[in-house]
Amino acid sequence: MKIKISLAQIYPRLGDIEYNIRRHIEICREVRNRTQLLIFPELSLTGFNLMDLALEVAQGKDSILLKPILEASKDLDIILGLVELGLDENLYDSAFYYSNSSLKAVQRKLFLTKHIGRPEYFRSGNKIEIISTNWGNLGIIIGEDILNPLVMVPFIRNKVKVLTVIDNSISTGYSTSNLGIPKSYVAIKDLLSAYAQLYSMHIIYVNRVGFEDGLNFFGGSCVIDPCGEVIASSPYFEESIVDVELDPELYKASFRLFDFDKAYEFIRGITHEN
Amino acid sequence: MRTSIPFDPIFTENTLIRFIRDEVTKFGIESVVIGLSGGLDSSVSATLAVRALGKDKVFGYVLPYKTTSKESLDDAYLVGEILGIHIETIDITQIVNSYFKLEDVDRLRRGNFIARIRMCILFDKSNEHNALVLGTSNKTELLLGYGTIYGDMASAINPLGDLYKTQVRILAKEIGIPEKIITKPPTADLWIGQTDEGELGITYEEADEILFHLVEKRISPQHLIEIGYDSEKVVKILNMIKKNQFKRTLPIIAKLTNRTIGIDFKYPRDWGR
Repeated sequence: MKIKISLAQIYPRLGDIEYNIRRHIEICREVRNRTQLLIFPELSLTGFNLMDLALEVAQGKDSILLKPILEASKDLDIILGLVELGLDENLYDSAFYYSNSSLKAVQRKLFLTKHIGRPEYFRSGNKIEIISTNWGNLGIIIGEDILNPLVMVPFIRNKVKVLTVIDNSISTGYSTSNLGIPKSYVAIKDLLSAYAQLYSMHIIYVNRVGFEDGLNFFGGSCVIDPCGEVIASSPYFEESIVDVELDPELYKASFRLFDFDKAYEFIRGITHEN
Repeated sequence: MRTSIPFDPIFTENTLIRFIRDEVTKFGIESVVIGLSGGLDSSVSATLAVRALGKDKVFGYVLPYKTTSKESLDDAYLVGEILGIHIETIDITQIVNSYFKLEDVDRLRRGNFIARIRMCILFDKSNEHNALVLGTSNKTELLLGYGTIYGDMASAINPLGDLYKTQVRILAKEIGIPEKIITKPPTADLWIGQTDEGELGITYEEADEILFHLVEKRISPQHLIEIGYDSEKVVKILNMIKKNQFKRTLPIIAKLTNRTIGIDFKYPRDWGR
């Protein structure tokens, strides 16, 4: 079964959640007739370098502000990023998956990094969601969580066909072998390509663009197939919406080189399946 | 012992042009003002600004003092002419001299004052043109503290602040800065005969290599000395970085409440933009 996916590489306005929601709704309207799953970057509703604003823009799962998104998901699955105000009153760097006018899944960022003092504001999530859809299992990874190889195990074990990586990747470092592209992006793309091949899955990478206090988000959103090939890509630096159609069934888990069951046993304690 | 510092001028040029365009226009502003000294850094900043905003949106000011060399002036005009930007010359000799009168002040005091008068003029002109002041301090200067706080170090946005001097040179070649500006000895030109490398007591190549290891690679000074770097130079650079940290911070505030500006009242500059 083929699925049509749209990657929304946007430039969120820092700390202006009302504006960002309107922008999300505009894009939902634009793609609704041609796509089944629309994916926004990490923190797409809020922006990244929030500092104390994190507390002010945080939204609970049932926030009235998010109702237009809920409604827009009537005929379109949506993945977006925001600062989540948990029931425990802590803040999380979360992805919400909306489908059929309901919030189907919440994936919280698992490993907070030292960048920009974020652990000051955010708590880390403690479970990995496996989201079942009518075209197969889907997983969501937020930003630097992709750098922890153990995070991949539940997705492999549950035969996730499409892995979505939503990111706010800042351009850093010079790549002397890939002029014009920052080292940080080259590293991510190489890693995703290796994972896609090793674990026989499509990987959808959605990054943002724009500047926040000098931080530069490079874009370069892309879709990598299980052969490690880039089958769709967004431009660097520019906002764009890129559509792709892919067939998750084309590649079987049995094509994988390794048996990952043993690793699953090891990591089972932090896995949540629904 | 020579290590080349990794650099990608293509990515850098592209990023800095977008940085200037983005961080200026999202405040509803279209223009920048910049002080042109005829040196490498201001020539590079001005060129990037023209590529980001267009030549009509860049206002260059040549602000000579009586000791400013003719070569500096000629080079400043040359860059302005090549770029086709608005250029205005304001001689600051009278302003400076009317303050110090006949007082015999040392050249450092006078130099700092000159740098701050230039800052005053640039910020005033930025108001006149509804523009932002574009900075020209590079990473080597910022780390070594080789600049006047609230003088040449003051700006609204600074595209060169994460580039070492030797990287600015490479970028300058990439964006077509005239060779004579790239190769002439860098100088703040605050007094006759002043050169950066003479004052610092180290070449930019040496300084950048040591800074690169200390700052980017986080290699300890002890290890650098062990692998063959000149201990005097390593220690000197380390001391300059530490001594001048105050130039890289906002004024510190005595904490009295739970939400002190800069300590636990933290908001981004691009708030809501």
